[in-house]
Amino acid sequence: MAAITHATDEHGHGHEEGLHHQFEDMEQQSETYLVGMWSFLVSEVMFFGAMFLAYTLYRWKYQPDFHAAHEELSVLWGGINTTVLLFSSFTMVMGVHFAQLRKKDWVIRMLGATIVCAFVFLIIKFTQEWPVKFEHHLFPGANFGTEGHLNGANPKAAELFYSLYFAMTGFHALHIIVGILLLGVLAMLWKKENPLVTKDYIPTELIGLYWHFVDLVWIFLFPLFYLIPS
Amino acid sequence: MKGTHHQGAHHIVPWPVYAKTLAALIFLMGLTILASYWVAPSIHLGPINIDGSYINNGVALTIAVLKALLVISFFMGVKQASDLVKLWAMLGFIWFTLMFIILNDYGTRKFEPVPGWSKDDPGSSMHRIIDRGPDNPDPQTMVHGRP
Repeated sequence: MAAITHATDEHGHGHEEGLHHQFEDMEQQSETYLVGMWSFLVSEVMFFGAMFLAYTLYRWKYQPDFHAAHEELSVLWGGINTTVLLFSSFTMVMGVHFAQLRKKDWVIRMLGATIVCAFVFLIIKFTQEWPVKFEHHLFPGANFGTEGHLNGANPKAAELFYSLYFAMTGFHALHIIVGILLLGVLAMLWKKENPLVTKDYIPTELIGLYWHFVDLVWIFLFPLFYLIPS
Repeated sequence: MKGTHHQGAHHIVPWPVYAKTLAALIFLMGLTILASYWVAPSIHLGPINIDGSYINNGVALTIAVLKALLVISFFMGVKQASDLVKLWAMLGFIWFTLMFIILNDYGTRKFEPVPGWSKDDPGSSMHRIIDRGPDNPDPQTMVHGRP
């Protein structure tokens, strides 16, 4: 076990609170945590990136059919969802801000607001957007396109479009659900004043990074699926 | 810094920065929606021929990248983070950009299959589509080595 002796060792717990023994100072510890979280986010970029690549390829090859098929998507609800998520990113970063200031009540309020926004997003998606497509037989499968609503698109290309649409928005919704769970746990930890989150703002910041990433994915999903030029 | 209400030598970003970032993001989102309704004209300037839809796509992607940069720099705190964190954040998105080089595979598919391996094909060193004529017909259309 490497023994690092510091001149300040006789202070005992004289180090900052929340500093773990293997780190020189808080700055190094925080940087390490952030790099670790970004490593995970890079893996998420790869996860969604592959699907974006598939989407780009087929949109390139079937541009007019994708344009026709995308007209079934509601720009209104997509726009509202985008605004809701952007706002939730703001409440999240405010939560981190208050965590830095150790203002527990405000942290919980901001996390709560973020969770509410997340639920609004999911409710809009699962009541206004997806069910309409199921009714119109736009979910890929044996029934695809049997109710029309293809706007003149080649049914095979339209089915591709909807495969990608449901896969990508579905995985994104799954990430939102996981995010809600994480935010819930975080809020509970703050409520109970667990030293894990009160001594060091970084855990809150890490969950914040995850949430901003989810928002980032949607920032790209929205124009790519909802706003296809002719 | 023990006992102070904020930790470390870390500088806390004033909250109006976040509010302004949000305002900019919402503005850009509105811009994206408006831009999608504007049908960009095609550009024909001498040798440059760009179809309008490319411009639309370019505008939409540029705005999306701008929004992403705002989220990454301010909401994710990368702007005031150390260089190591900046590097880590950038790496993922650089990878993402480089991945699209794969599309060159699909863009050059018409050059397949390479006829060079068929000893029956007199035009085996040539591009499959170009330079076709009665002397070197497309081997895909030949039957038993004959056109």
